[in-house]
Amino acid sequence: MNQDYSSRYILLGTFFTVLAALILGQHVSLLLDPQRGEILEEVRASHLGSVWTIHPPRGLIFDRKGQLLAGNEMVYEVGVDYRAIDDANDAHTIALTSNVYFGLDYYKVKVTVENPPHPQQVYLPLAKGIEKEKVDHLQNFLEITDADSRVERTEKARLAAHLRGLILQPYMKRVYPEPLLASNVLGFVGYNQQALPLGYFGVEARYNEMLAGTPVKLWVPNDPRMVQDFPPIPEGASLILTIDRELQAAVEKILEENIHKTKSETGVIIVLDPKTGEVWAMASYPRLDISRYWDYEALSEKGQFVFNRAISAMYEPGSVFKVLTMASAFDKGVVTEDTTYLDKGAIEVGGLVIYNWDRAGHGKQTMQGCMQLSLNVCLAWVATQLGAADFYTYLQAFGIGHTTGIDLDGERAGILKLPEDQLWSESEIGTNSFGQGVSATPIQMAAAISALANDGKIMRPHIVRGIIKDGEQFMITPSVSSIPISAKTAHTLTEMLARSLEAEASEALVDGYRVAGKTGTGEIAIPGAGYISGETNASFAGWGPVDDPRFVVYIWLEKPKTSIWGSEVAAPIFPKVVEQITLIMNIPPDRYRKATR
Amino acid sequence: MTLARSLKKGKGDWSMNSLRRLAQAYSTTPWRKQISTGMLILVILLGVILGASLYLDVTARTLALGRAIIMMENEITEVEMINAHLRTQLGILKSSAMMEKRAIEMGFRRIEPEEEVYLIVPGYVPLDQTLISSSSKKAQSVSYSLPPIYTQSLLEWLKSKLDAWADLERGSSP
Repeated sequence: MNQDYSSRYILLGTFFTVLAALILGQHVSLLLDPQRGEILEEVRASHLGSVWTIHPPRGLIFDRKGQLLAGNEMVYEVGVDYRAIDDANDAHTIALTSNVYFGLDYYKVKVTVENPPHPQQVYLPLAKGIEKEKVDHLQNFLEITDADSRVERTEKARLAAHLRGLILQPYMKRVYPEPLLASNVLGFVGYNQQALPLGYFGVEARYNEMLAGTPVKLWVPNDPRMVQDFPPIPEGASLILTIDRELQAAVEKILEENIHKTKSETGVIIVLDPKTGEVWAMASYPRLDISRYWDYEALSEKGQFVFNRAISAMYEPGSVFKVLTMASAFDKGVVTEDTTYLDKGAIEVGGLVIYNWDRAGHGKQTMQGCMQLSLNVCLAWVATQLGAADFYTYLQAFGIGHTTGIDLDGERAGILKLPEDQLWSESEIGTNSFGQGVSATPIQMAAAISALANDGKIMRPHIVRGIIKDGEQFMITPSVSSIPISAKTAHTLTEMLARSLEAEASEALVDGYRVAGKTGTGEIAIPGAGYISGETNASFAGWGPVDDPRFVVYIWLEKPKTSIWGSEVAAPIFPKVVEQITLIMNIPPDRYRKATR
Repeated sequence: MTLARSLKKGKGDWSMNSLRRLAQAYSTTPWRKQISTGMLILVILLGVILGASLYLDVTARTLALGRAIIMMENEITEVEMINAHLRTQLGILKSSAMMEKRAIEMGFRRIEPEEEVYLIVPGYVPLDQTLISSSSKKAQSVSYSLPPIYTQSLLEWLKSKLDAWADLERGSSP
């Protein structure tokens, strides 16, 4: 080998030896420290591409006739890309544009743009939920058109260059065309700790996963040669509710008017179809404007705000409960329509003396008379004839003491003490017979009463009527929840209660339609002091038409001031609601229906 | 012998001689091998340049297509968002309150129960309003990925063609 070249060969050899040693050393170090290997692998992967998590658009919510109740709106997140900020002019232009077009604070934006929170920070959101129209306005302004003069074009180009750091990122936001309508049923979409949309209350919470769809993770390569077509990302399922928008609006209006008229604190009206368990309308007062869902926290802190009183508020229903007691006794056969009771105005049950609402005795009464005059004493006697075991078995079959299973988030079970419970005493059978000492939610009461309007069967109350998934529509099949009484008992009691309303010329009667119903006035107990508040829960449960019941209406007003009696404040609401039901749900008056048979 | 005769006689001989002299000169030239090698290298270089140009052209087109696809994906997403937005705007315009307001403006009013007139039409079946979804299923993309021709390099494309050709030669079905 030539001496002149030997030093070069040695140098080259040394270089490759050192290189091999370095590679080997790195390899050994990665073997010894796998965590570092993972980090390096992440860095490598980040150079190759990135993983995008794509959240499909949230499913829509329609009413039973296909009217939109909840949809999605395109809004923008406005942010700043610090990599594109070159000088103070950029910050000034971005701050000024954000102020003029999006209403953001000029100085706040300018300071944020000029001073990134961290030196390595590349992006920071400035505002979310900016309306599409505002962004369109800005984009139209910056767009260079043929009509622009040379000066205008230059100016626009200059502005656009300064606004390179202003990032407008579109995303979908939940929106409700009528944010007060059925808000207690719909719930709302807020954001969880990971800033991801999440349903709260109502169907938004109950069907959150279905509505939200399945997020898809996609690996998007940086190398455009490796780009892949995005797979179709299935949208979240859409829901068709049993609610009728027109009826819901009408019922909400009636409730609100009567809340003010009777000076009640809160109220509920439920309209359901007894044959299917479909809830046609569910009004709850007060209600939340779900376009401002963040007010919920303040409202719930201020007082006892319950998002949906129809399913979450428990109360002692009072005399409407007598319908269940009498139905149980009829079904068991311990009393019949012809059974008479001598009402002396008081009865002792389990050591507790029970009086009538007027503290008077009404003499010999048939069962219809007991119901018509709403005699506590008579009903307490009926319950004792039935016996505790059968009485509570029937109440449980009516669904008292457990949830109805309605597909809404936040349903409560109410409280029903049973003979095997330690807190139960024998006197409970007397008080429970007329709806005191037992608490239930309005939906429980409406579902229980629906047994009388549906041949003794309780259909599971539900809000979702159908589901649309990938363009295919599936309808929910109604299911029987329980059969507490026979069809004969249901018909007998319905007829008896229709006669009761007619006999007393109740304000609950409806022109053109024969209806059955029962009022209720439940005293409100003060913990530790008993029923001395002088405040009541006024209720009315009604259904019709008697020959072929199509609707059940349950009305509850809490603490009415103009009158404490259900017959005076709750019963007059019933015909107003029925008028709307028959108009909107196409239920012809009895004479037309009978003519078509 | 005059010069003119000599030229006339030897016209063909002159060109042959010239060539012979040129070949002799070239064969005796000391750098003839270098020229030969140089020319060979130039030819190879030209081939490489041609191949590289073709490769770059195909790659550039692939890149441009890739970019176009990304842009189109973004456009599709935005159009879908705009559609959802418009659908909601339509829902707002058709909301209960808005419709009532418009109806009142047009001179309509709510019907009173005593004004209802029911007409019995034998055989009439009310319109089923339960069908909300369109029966046509949303068009699904048949292929979830691009054909390989849009993503493979020239060499990969050549290899695939050669493989296909080899398969045909072996008698396998294409």
